[in-house]
Amino acid sequence: MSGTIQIEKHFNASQASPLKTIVGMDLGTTHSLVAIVENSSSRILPTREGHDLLPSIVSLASDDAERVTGYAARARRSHASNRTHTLASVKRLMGRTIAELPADSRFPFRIRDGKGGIEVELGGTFYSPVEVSSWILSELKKSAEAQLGFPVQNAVITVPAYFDDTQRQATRAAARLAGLRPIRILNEPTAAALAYGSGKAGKAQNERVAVYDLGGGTFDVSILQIQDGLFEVLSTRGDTQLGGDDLDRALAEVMVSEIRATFGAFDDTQWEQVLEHSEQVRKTLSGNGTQGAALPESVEVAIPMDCSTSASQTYRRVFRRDEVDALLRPWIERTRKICSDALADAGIAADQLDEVLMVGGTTRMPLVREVAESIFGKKPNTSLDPDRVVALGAAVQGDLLAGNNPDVLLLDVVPLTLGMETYGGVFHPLIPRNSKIPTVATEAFTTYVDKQTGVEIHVLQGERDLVAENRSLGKFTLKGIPPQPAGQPRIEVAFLVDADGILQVSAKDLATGNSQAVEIKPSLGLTDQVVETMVQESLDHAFKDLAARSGIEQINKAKSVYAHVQNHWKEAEQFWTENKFSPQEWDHLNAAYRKVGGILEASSHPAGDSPELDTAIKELNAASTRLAELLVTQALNG
Amino acid sequence: MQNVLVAAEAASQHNRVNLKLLGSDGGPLPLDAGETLNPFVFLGIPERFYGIDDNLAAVTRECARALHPDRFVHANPDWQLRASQRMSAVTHAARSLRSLSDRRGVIFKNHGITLGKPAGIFTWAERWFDLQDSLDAAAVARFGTELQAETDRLEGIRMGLEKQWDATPELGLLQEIADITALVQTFDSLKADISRKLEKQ
Repeated sequence: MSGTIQIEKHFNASQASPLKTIVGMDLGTTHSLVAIVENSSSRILPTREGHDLLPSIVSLASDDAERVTGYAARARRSHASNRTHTLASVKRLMGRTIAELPADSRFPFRIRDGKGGIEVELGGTFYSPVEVSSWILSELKKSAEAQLGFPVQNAVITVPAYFDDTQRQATRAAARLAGLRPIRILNEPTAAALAYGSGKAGKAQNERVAVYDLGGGTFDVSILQIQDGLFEVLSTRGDTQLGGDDLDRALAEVMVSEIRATFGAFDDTQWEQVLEHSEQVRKTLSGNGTQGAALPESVEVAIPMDCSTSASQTYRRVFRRDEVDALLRPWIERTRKICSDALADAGIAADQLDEVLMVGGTTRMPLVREVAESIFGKKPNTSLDPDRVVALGAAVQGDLLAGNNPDVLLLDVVPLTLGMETYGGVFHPLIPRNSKIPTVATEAFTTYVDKQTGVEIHVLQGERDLVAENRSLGKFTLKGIPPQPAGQPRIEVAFLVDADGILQVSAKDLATGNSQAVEIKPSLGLTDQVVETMVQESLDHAFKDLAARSGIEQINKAKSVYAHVQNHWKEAEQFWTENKFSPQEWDHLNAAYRKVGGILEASSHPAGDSPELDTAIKELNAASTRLAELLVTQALNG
Repeated sequence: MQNVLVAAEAASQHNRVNLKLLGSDGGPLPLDAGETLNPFVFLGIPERFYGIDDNLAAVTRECARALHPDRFVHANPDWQLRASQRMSAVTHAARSLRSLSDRRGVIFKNHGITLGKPAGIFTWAERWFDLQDSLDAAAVARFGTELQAETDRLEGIRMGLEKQWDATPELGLLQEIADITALVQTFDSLKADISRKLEKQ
């Protein structure tokens, strides 16, 4: 029997283990992160690239079929030859059709409407945003596994609070495609509030907070009441097409029109380059994420012009803060009405809020902070890390769902009204927005044609009066109604929304008892079957990565074995002074311990299986058997 | 007269019924279809027109702490289902009372009374008791007219509530109609008092 296994069993109950662990994942428009709660505090798990943040970018080098994500993909994007081989910000396309995108949308890659909504082109093949998102989630999964040293399956994944059911289902599909079990789809601002509030857990607490979450692609605002560990969402509002990306685009458009005016033309292939400069301007004016340092009042931009005949032509421009602010202010001002609507829905006034929490990288902009302060009449709280807090909160929720923190509970809401179509194309709401979940609603309907034997139930989500203006979630038909005059049959439709925010609809003919229930499948996006097939395909592809991965697994195993011995080294030395080891055993343990330590120190990046390390791990396992026995005996004897 | 009002106001805040949510085995009680027919009874909230919103918030929190399905993630499937069903019924009942309260808010607003302050109507009434105490000959004529206007307004509210009652017969709101009728009677007699004082002078 292996020594370390015994130690693990006996001493490791409180640490992360494969069965109990539910990681938190923030699948962001520009960045994604994974976090975990360990020993009741949450931390970000670094990616395999060694960063906390994984840029939500996927790239395919033109000369090589290998996909890369993260900073590696971002670096490739900068090369002109790779521009058509890079996808970014696909989160904005999740569960959408081209018709639904804002008219001025502009993407550096080709898009088309496919069977399941928008598809994006990468290296000559079209993929759904669900697939692209699954690659990003998969990279987070691998990163978490490399850090934790065991397979990770269970995850809480965050989405913008204002995502509708289709977008949430698309996110779930992406998770399953990445080989994850999406235990919960959690709203981003709620996650941020959890991270904020759980830091104070244990103390009696009663406060009202607004979470102002302006990310790369979406804006959400949520009003919460936090009372003694109960996080109650009072209301949530948002705009899924408003974020830092839009600000960068607006500024880039200005640059393009100036370039046109100066040089007479603009080469569209330079759009990405201009966009990167625009992003840089905004970030520099926001202090590039550094706290406390004095912010610059202007930034100079210099972009060499490919299109110009003369080689020395360069677009030069100094952007002052006041002019950039004036340009971007109308975008930020759009959050004002959304916030006041959220307050009205919550039934409270701005001065009843205790805190306004700023979340999302875009809230680093002084302009955004200023607008938020004027909306709420209160200095916003900028103490949370705007990039990391959502992932940390998702990990907190994962920990709750793993049953590790019974004092904290989350009571969330549906963001958008759920209802069905009635006669004349009118939308009939059954569950209004901001209803607490889980919940249920039933309503009796009748037929409007004589001898009608079937009723089509068309389920919708949205805030508009007409069916055509709301999002269609799906349709199903209740058949077998006995022929009767119009208005006679009574059909009861029930909407059920579970704690995960997933809608189930059932219809029942009250006369016959004949009923039909369906979990609403997105009419856009992927069916379960398609997802299953794709999971199978990705498993087939996975063998390619096997060599690399087993290298990682070996390193992790070594780390884990080493850490167990390291954690008990003091006791080991104590046992040695008490003569509980034979000199032979002691030498053996020392040698094996140093050997593994030495190899680990030398190889921070695994390059496939190493037989040397394998032997060293086995040696250490064997050598630590005696230590494990001694520790167990000691523990049993108190 | 004043005692009636004080008693009613106190009652609005303190007579919530204790809810039984969990069985003796610690699991959520199974939901019986009949239980939810009257949301006031189901949530243990007095059937009155005031204090609904405050009570709802408290009841919802109390139920969530005991019943939320996240509390039963690792329990047996039967408990999970019960928790989900009972909690769903609670949020549904709370929603229907909230919407009732909102619709009343519109009626109150149309009659110039601010809602959101459950005790507002009483504050308004008290103003009139103060006036009555401080009546002097010079002010009598003016107060007489105003009193008439206010009484008319009260009558309007009463009618509005009765209409509401007709529209939602499934909710047993007799108590609230009785309350408002009692108020109107109070004001009627107040009006009579002032008339008598006027006659004496």
